[in-house]
Amino acid sequence: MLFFSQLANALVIGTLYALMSLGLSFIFGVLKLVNFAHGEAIMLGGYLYYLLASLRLPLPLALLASIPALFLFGVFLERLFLRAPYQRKMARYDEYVILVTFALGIFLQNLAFPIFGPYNRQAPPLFKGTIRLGELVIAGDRLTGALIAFAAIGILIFLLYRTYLGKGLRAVAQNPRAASIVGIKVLRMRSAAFGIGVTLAGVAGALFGPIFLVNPEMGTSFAVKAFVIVVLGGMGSVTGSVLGAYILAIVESFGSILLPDPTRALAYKDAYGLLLLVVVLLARPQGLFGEKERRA
Amino acid sequence: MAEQSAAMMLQIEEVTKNFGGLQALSSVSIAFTAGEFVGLIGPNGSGKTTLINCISGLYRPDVGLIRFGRETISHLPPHRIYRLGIGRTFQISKVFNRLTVLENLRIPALTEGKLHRREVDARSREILTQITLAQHGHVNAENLSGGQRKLLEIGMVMMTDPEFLLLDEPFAGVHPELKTKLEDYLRQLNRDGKTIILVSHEMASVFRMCQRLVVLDHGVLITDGPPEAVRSDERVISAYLGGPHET
Amino acid sequence: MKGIVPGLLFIAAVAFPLFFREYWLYVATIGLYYAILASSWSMLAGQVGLISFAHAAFAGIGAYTSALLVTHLGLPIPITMLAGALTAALFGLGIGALTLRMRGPYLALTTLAFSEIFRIFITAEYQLTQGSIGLKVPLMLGGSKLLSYYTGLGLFLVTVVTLTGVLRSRVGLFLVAMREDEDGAETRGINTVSYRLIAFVLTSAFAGLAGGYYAHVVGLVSPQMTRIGEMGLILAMSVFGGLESLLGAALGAIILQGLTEYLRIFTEWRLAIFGALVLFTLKFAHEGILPSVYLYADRLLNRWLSRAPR
Repeated sequence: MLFFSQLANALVIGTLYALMSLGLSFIFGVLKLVNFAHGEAIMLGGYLYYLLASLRLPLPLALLASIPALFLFGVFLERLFLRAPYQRKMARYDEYVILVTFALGIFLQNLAFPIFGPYNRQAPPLFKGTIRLGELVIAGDRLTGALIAFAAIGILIFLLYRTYLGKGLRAVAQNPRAASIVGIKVLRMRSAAFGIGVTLAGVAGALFGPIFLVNPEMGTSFAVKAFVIVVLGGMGSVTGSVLGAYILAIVESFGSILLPDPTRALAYKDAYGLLLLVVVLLARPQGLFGEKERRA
Repeated sequence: MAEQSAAMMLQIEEVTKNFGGLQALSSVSIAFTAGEFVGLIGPNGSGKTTLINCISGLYRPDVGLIRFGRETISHLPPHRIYRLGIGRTFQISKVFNRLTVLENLRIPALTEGKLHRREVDARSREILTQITLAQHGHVNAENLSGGQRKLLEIGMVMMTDPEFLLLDEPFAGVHPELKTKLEDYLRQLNRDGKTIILVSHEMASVFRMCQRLVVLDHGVLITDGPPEAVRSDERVISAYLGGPHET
Repeated sequence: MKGIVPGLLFIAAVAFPLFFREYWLYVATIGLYYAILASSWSMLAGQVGLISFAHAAFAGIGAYTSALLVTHLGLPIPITMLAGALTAALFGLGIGALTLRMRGPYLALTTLAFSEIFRIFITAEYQLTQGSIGLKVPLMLGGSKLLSYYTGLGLFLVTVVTLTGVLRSRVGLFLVAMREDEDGAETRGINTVSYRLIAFVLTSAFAGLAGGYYAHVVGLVSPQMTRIGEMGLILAMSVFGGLESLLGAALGAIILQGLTEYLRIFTEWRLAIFGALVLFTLKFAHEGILPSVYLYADRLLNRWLSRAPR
């Protein structure tokens, strides 16, 4: 019974993890960069939903209203910090991108501290109570979160494969030069992709809020998980991120049973994912579905 | 005598290299002897650069061996292969952009550690003049034109006077006048005893300078022989122009 | 202009305690800790081009090694500080070896993971390390702020002199070549494996040394010093001061550390202001604010000198 409840929990959390990491993977796929501020995008989403909910907005509306805000913010960030260096073909662009996204993350985190205070905030869940499936008991907020995440992922896939925008994004991901030759506005696509990535992360953060509590540092541990997932599944691969998310959730869920001492087991919970990350980076850096880089 | 010539032979034995689903080289076997001037040709994507990368150590063959003299070098890192006397240039020049031309030249000699700092400086100035970049010694490599970068690469390779030279498209983007000078320079190097394997699309130059042509197509060795024979070889023609067996 | 500035700064640094006591002396001492970290990190990230997020963790390794050796074995502080540096160097070797084929974001991610794993380990093993409460450690030199400051200054000088020496040597040339083009460097005879390891070992050794120094100046080692926020600080200081200049990064550290105290009124907003400063630097003066100021001042000075009557 323990096995099934751990598994169910893992699947539910895994869906949320999948939404959370898709944004990171997507940004890498289109812009070819790792967004080290990903955790803070998650945090922002968490706070945004919390704020809108405290304004007594009906909760589904609070969630929906955060989406355009997050998207616009993402576009804004891309245009402010990433567009010019890309256009100018700046020397050591790759290093700059790491530095600037990392700095952005630190900035946003340290901005959240004075604005929101260091306290944990609990955002109201979309569905209170628990759900019973036979003998299994699943927390209502987690299940609704997972269902919404599932829907969001579905919308993303629809966007990517059935719309013109999606086609443009995939084209830029595969070959920006060719895409621009056929008339796709590469710069605009890059901004849009970054916006979408931030939005996905933010929505995940909003869904996490009721479950895991919102505080300025929440982004860090989630970002680390997202990195693990994206590397495991292969950077830029949607399928990979989803699979990686479930794998991590399962590893975390069952890994905590391994260590006998309960307090230490809990403390080391985050470490499992990290160790997994290191192992994958060493053994198969392209992950399950990524492509190996060619040299010279 | 046999020992001496064995020591100078580069042997490629049944080398295969895959990239994901793409087979860049399939069971390629070639033997090079000291003093040859060989042209390595073939249409785009035929595996020429991959072969050069395997020889110089950037890639490791999935199957097969590469021998230099009696040593097997296929598993050695590039810096060891360079020290054994095999130098190479790149299709897209790999020079150190934010170092000056002279600093670029000094590096290959400094890594060898055989020459004193002052000797390295002297030699680098010598080579600088030879590659006709005498005015550009203190210019950052990133400010050179494409053709100048090619020249710099050749200069860098010559700093340690290697016995074997692998040149990947050394003429691409070079001024025609300079190209003639380069050709003369390479011919002189060959007369001095250096073995040169030249990858190039400039057929006229290749036919002029090389005594032997090796032709690759889709990773397979299709012909190996003197220029006249290769020129009229049907397989070579269809490889370049497409023939009855092209799908 | 070039030689004068470091000379003036050195004189200012030595004379500093004459004008500032207690509180500001302590601030400067901590500033020296960050100066060593920032300059060693900037060598790795700026000169060699390897962006590692494990630097704060290396400082932590040095600090905890020194702390544990003093607490459990009673060894003298100078010895334990050296041991801290050596342990950090060993870990640097290990991480360098594991990340040999990695560049850019993959390297950043792996080093970030190591940093976090170390922090979690330190926090979890509370029987050994007192966890998040922190380990109390004896102060160096009888707690004398003055002597601690000069020790720090000495350590900082050793750091800068050593690293600059390496960068000016043929090793430095090879490291820069590797940054420009790793495959090209290999092909020209540079054993990139060895040099990459040298870069890691050297910079992490100094980080460890700084960590040990910090431990015996503050009197407490806690996992706080290995948090990602600390790494962000080091990054901010180096970027602000000039990633490609060891002294620049060090100055950036001192200045930002000084600002930390000046901005105490805005306690909560301090780090956000720093963050904004760094972003501003990256966007408008990505070689660093200080190098830009320096260049500007240099140009002004030259203009002024050339106008002077002969």
